[in-house]
Amino acid sequence: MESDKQSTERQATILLVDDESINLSVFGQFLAPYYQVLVATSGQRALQLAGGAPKPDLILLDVMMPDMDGYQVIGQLKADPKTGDIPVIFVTALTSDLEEERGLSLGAVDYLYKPCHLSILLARIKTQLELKNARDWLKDQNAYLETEVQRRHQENEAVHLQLLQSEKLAAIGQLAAGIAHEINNPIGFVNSNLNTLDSYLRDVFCVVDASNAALDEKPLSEETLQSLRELKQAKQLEYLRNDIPELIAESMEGLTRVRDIIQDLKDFAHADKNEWELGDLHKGLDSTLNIIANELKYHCTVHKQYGEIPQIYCLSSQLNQVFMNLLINAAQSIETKGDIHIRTGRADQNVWVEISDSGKGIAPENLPRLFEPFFTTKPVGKGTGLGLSVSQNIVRKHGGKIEVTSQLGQGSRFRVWLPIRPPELGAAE
Amino acid sequence: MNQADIRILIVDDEPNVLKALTRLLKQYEPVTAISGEEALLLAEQHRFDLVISDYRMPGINGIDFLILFKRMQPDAVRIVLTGFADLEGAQHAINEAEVFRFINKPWSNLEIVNVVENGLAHKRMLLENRALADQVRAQQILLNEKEAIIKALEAEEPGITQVNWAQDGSIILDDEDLQ
Ligand SMILES: Nc1ncnc2c1ncn2[C@@H]1O[C@H](COP(=O)(O)OP(=O)(O)O)[C@@H](O)[C@H]1O
Ligand SMILES: [Mg+2]
Repeated sequence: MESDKQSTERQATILLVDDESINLSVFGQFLAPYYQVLVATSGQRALQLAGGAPKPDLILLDVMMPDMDGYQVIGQLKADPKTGDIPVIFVTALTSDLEEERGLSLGAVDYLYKPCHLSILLARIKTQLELKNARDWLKDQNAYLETEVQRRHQENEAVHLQLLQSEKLAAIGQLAAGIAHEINNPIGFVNSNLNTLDSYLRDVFCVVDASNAALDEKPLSEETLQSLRELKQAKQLEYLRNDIPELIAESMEGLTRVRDIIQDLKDFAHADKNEWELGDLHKGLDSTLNIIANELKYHCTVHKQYGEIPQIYCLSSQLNQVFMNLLINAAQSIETKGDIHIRTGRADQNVWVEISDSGKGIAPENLPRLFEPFFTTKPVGKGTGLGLSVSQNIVRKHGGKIEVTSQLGQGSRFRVWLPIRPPELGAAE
Repeated sequence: MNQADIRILIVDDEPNVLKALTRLLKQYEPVTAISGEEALLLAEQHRFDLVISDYRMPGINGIDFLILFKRMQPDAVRIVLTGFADLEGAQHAINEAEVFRFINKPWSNLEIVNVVENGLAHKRMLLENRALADQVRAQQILLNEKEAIIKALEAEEPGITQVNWAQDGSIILDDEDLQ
C-alpha cells in the first residue's frame, strides 16, 4: 500500500535560486535523487521558472543576490496568485534576527543557514513539502466542499420550487371541479340563450317575410291582412321584443363573468412570475376568493374586514397561494356551516392578514407539527399536507412569519405578518 | 294530465340559469325557485308533474331536495342539472332520489327539451299503466266476488254449480237429485 502510494505520487519539484553556481551544484547534486530540481542564478530567472511548468512545489531562495535580492523575489512571488502559494525557504549566510523576521514577515516558511548540514536541509525540505501537500489537500477539500454546498443549495432550491409548483397544482386540481362549475354555469345559460335567440330570429324573419309578401300583393286582401295578424300573434312578436334585450343583457353578463374568472386564474397561476413588485394584498385576497368561491360559498359565510394597509413589495402570486391555502384550510375545517373572517391591518413597518374560522380547531398535540411537510389529518385526496409548509416558506422568503392560535371545537386563527419592505430588498428605496 | 295543465318546477341558485330555462320551456310556463328550501315551500302548495333541479346550491343540495320533494309528490318526474364531478360519492342519495335523468352543465337546449318531453311521456305512461292496473285489479275483485258466491253455494248444495246438460238442451236430473 505504502509503496503503491509512493509510486503514484508525483515527484516533487524544487527550485534552487542562488547567484553562486557552486552552491547550486552542491545542493542540486544532493537533492537530485529525491526531487526534480530546477535552478536559477538570478531573481528574474527564478520568477520565470516559478511561473512556468512544472510548477515548483518548494523554492530554496538565496537572500543575498545582485540586482534583485531574495526579499524582492519573494515579494513578487507572493504578489502573483499563480506563484503565491509556493512555499519559500530562505537560504542565507546572514545570522541577524532582524533579517530572519523580515523574511518570515514576507511569507517565507523557514530559514536555512549556509553552510548547512545536508541532512538538515533534506529534513526541512521534506517537512515543508508535507505541509504543502496537506495545505493543497485542504484547499482541494474546501473547494470541493464549497461546490458541494452550492450544489446542494441549488438542489434544495429546485426541490422547493418543484414543491411549490406541485402543491399549487394539487390545490388547483382540488379547485378544478369548483372552477368548472363556476364557468359552466354562465356558459350554460349563454349558450342556451343564443340557441333560443336563433329560434326567435327565425320567427321574426318568418313574420318579416310574410309582411313583405303582403306588401307585394295589390290590392291587399282582407284575408292576407288577417292571416298576417294571426301569424304575428302565433309568433308572439311582442313577447320577443321585450325578451330579446333581456336575453342579450343576461348573456353579456355571463360572458363578463367567464372573462373575470379566467383573469383571476391567470393572476393566480403566475407562479413563474417570480418578480418582486408593489402588490395590493386586498386585490390578491379578492381574486383568490373568486377562484375558490365554489369551495366556500355553499357552507361558509365570508366576512371581510379590510383595514388601511399600504401596498407592499412582494411576490404577489406566491402570496396569493398562501392566502388560498389558508382559506381552503379554513373552509375544510368547517364541517356543516360556519364563518370565515378575513381581516387586515398595519402595525409599524409590517402589515398582517388574518384568516380565522369557526371550524373544528386544531388539537394541541398537532399544533407544533402543522408546518411540517406532508403533515395532514385529512383523508387521501383531500389533503397533501404541503399547504402550510409551502406557505411558511413563501412567507419567510418575504421576511415575515405565520402565527397560529386555535381552540379545539371553536376554530382557528392564522395571522400572516409581512414587512412592508422585505429585508432582502433593503430598507431604503 | 293533458298538455294544458302540465306544471314544471325549475330550481337553481343562479337567476340567469332560471331565466334561460324558462325561455326554453316557455310553452309549459314553468315555475322557478332559487333554492331547494323555496322549492319545497312551493311544493306544499302546488302539484308539479316534473321538476328540474341544480345540484350545487347553497343550503340543501339538489339531491337532498329531490329526496324530500319525492316524499311530498312521488309521481313527479325528477331531473338533475349538474357537472358530473359534483356527484362523486353521492351514489346512495342519487338512488334514493330516483332521478329520471341527469343533464350536464353546460346543457344543450335540444337535450333539455327532449328530456322534458320524455319525462312527461314517461310519467303519462306510468299513470296510464297505473290506471290499467287499477282496472285489472277492480275486475279481479269482481271475479273474486263471483267465485266466492259460487263456492258458498257449492258448500251448501254440493254439485249445484255443476249442471248436466242433455243433448237437446234440457237438464238431466239424477235420481239422487230428486230424493
Ligand atoms: N384552519 C384550520 N383548522 C383546523 N385544522 C387546520 C387548519 N389549517 C390547517 N389545519 C391542520 O393542519 C394540517 C396541515 O395543513 P396543510 O399543510 O394545509 O395540509 P392539508 O390541508 O393538505 O392537510 C391539516 O391537515 C389540518 O389538520
Ligand atoms: Mg391545506
